[in-house]
Amino acid sequence: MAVTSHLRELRGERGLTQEGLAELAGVSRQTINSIETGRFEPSLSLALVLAHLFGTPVERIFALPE
Amino acid sequence: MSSVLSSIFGSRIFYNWRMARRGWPYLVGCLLAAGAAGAFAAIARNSAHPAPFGLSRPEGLAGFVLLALVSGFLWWRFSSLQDEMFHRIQNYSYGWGAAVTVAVLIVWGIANGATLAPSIDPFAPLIVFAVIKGFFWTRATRKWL
Repeated sequence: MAVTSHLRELRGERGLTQEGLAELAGVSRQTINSIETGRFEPSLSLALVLAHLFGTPVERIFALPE
Repeated sequence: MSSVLSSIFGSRIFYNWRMARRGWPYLVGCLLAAGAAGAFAAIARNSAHPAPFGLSRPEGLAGFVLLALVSGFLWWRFSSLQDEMFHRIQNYSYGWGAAVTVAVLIVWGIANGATLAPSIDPFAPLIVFAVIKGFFWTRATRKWL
């Protein structure tokens, strides 16, 4: 079951580049890009790191499809 | 050696140079150890000529095994400093590489038993694995990146 990602919207709201977010999360820019385009589902630990960086619950970034 | 080199030059292993810089001494050490292991492998399988460096074939084999283990350990240390995308690509390529290599060797062995193929060179599995793993590494990067 594919997970829906709202990472791109949240990143845009914060004015962050993919490179900047990757730096903060400790991953590559390509990893961020792959998550945003739905080709890659992150691990729970990376999802929690991203939620922590955005100060938002993890389910606001990633959700099961309706 | 060829396995590591095919990973680095034959596919997009360093899709992010900033990530790759993490732990680069481990990578350099891994390449040096893999190269030296290749030299020892050549000594171990060379029966037609005088042994280079005054080493016997058992010593060459021992050197190959030791340096291959060192190279693998250093690659593991380097890999542990990369991100989860790297690990996913690595797990995918090594897993499929190992499975298909076993299948190829089984078919090769059966064909050899039926005198349809030559006997398997002791180092052939390494080369077969390197080629197949390189293929799946490239496939994984195209799939996820």
